Amino acid sequence: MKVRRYLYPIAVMLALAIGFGVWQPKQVKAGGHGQPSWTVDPGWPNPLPAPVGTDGVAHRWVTGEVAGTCIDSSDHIFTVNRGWEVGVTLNGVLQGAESGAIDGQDASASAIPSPPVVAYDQRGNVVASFGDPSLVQTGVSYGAAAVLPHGMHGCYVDYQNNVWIGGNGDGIVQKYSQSGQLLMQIGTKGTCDGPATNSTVGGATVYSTCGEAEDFNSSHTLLNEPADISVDPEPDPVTGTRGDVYIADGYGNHRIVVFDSKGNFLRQFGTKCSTTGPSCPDGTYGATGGGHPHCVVLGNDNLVYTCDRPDSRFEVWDKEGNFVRSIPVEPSSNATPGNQAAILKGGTRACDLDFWPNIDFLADKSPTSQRLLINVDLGNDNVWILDKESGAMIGALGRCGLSPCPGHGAGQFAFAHTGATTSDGNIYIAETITGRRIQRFVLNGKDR
Amino acid sequence: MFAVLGVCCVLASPKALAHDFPLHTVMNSFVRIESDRADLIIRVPLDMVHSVPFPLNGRRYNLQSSGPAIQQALIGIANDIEIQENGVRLIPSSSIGHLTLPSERSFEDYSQASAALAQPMDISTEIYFDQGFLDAHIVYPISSAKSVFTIRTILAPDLGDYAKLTVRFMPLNAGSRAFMITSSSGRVPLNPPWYRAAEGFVVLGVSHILSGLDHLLFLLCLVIPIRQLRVLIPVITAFTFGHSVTLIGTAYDLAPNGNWFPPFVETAIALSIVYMAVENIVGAKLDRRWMIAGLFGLVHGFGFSYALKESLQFAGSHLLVSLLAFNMGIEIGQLFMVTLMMAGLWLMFRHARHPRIGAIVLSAFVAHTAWHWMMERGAVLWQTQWPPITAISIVILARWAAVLLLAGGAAKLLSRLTKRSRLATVTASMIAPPAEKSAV
Repeated sequence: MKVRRYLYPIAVMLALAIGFGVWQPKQVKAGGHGQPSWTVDPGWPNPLPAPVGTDGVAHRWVTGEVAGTCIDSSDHIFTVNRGWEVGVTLNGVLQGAESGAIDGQDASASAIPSPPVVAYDQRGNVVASFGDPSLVQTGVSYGAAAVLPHGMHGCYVDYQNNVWIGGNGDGIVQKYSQSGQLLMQIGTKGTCDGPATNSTVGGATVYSTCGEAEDFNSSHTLLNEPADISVDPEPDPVTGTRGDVYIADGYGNHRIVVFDSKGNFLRQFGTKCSTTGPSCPDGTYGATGGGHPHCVVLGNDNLVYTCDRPDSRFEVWDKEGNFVRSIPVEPSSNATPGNQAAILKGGTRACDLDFWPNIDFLADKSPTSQRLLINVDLGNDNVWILDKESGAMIGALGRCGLSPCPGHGAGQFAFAHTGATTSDGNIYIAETITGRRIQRFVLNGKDR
Repeated sequence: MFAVLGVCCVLASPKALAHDFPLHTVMNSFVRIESDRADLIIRVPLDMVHSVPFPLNGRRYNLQSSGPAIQQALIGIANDIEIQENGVRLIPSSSIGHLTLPSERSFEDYSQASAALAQPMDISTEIYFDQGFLDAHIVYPISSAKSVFTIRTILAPDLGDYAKLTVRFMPLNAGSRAFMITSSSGRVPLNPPWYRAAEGFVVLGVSHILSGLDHLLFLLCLVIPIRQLRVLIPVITAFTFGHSVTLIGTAYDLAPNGNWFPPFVETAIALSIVYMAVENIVGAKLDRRWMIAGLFGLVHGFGFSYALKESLQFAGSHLLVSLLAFNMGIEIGQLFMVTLMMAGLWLMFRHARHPRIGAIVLSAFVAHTAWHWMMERGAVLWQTQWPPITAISIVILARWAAVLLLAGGAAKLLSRLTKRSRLATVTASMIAPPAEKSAV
């Protein structure tokens, strides 16, 4: 009875003390003290459209692999998807449920591939799409009738809101208006800057010069499996004109190649390393393993940040092609020894990067400090937060903390491939191969 | 004048719908009041001005010869965005416009936007069709900075609520406020006096309760077994007190954030109806119903707050007055509906031989409906991610627990006092024989 009498005042005092008085904790930051943190939004995006076909049945879109993601001036999230490459055979191997085709784990019988380019708003609604999947043929002439690059890979939205797309199974980079009109192309479709190889589909040789078997790394008009693009809204340091196109010509070739806004070659930098690994000298990209360079991003410090994916490092250049520094992707010293070992285990750590905060969709226009690098780590199934200046790993985006985070649950990753940040500090990560989705990570609080 | 009429609603033309790519539907604007002038600075996405024939050079705008089209668009904007001073429409004295790139960031604040528009337009800029903005600066002479100003937009009315106009209102010598309006918002006061703000919120409160079927069903559950005003008053008062607490708390940012909370509230509201209806069916005691009503009132208050959220921006500097006015509107609507329900139930049961059976059947219907709501809303809730237990969430939880405990304690105290005074009255009447009886 005595206990019951005191229960009420004790409960009130406790609630008041915690709620209003003695304890005013600050928000816990996943990235460490004073660092921002993010929470995965498992409800994003909303279910994709399900148009009713001529058979009277609703056919829901499936994206298949979401290879690239990029942000436009309205914080719309563009994705380039490979679901439409149904039945494609690449390098003699039929792409099955594990890579490329949509049939299999992520599609019901009535599903249809989404358009190759799909844009979402931050609430998860599809706000735009373009590219006609029917342009892509299956069988012998696969891709030959297509306009879009084969092996859609990276994308970028420039200062004029045009959408750029590159393909790592092709030799082209294309520029589209937001309504999907092809405005410009660099390179020749189906022809790469490389020696003849024997890529066949159904017995026919296609894309014969594409691949990394022996790169030429030299053409002023051809590319070899370009992975990523950036466009410079600032005047070129040499020519003084705006709109230079920086291309990570990096699945077949091993270079960053710069064209002017009309598509004329200006310069290139970076060469092929004789091997792959930590011994590769500065300014070279790993010889094998694909994705070298795998990204190119312009910073607001007037520098060019590139991903040497097989060597797990970022290589930084000035815009004229002088090497500035290398940022290796190393495990955090805060990580437990076990985690450090686990992080070291996986290669291909420098898959993609973006800056944070980045209040403009163009990294190089953002007036903020861009103090963090968001590093998408394909090899370890996580996304690391690095301090840009020191290169130190200070946090992770995945729900596993500073350890690899494989899986298909919310906040886990399967082949995390590319990432982009919006002006309000949210982060979007696209997953390819078996991941086949894009995840949204919402900035906690208002920390910039 | 003819030219003005010619381009009137130019931005509202049905052609605005024809664009395939309605990506940009937000227009940013500033309205700054100075002693003798009002400045409207606005950024309109170019894909919303298709009916203005901007000259093209291939896929790009020809900026060199875009002057006449810009002038036409400026007249259209001045017509489609109406600013009034004390009920009189303001007439522009000057205007200037530019076409700008999507990456142009001067609209981050007023001074940058104003400075950028004061510069000559850079005609060497390459802007692709539909991929850029029309920036405009329109100046209106005004008679006094202390006047009451209103704004209304009919820009692209065909796009309805998808075409949003964000307005940052910057009154003279006062803090700025942000609004977001659409063509369906009507005329919105930028600096409403308190009575004007209150008036709007009373109407909003009434309309919300009248259109909120779940709140009405909850009220019906309260009324079904009681049907006596004297007994019903404490129950309704407790419900009102409960929802007022959470409604006001939410307006002051005391409610939890997160995707999980709205479906949680919606599910809890459906649950409250099921509970009340089942209690009616099983014939639970009604003497403690006021406590349950007060508790569920807390939940319904969160529900009311969602109706208020979008509109609270129109409260100007009168947040508390507007909140109380909204609450008053809720009460007016509630009293009206309770009266209507009591009359309806009286008509329904006045000749019934077994009104209890009638109450059970009616409650069963209500329970059935609410059960389906609960399952549907629960399914949505199930799919959302629950918030991690953090220090912040514990603090918020503790605050609400404190409010609940204090409210419960006050209610208990009130109940005891009422009971004691009733007992005292009964005891007194037993001791003293009625004067009338002794007189007989």
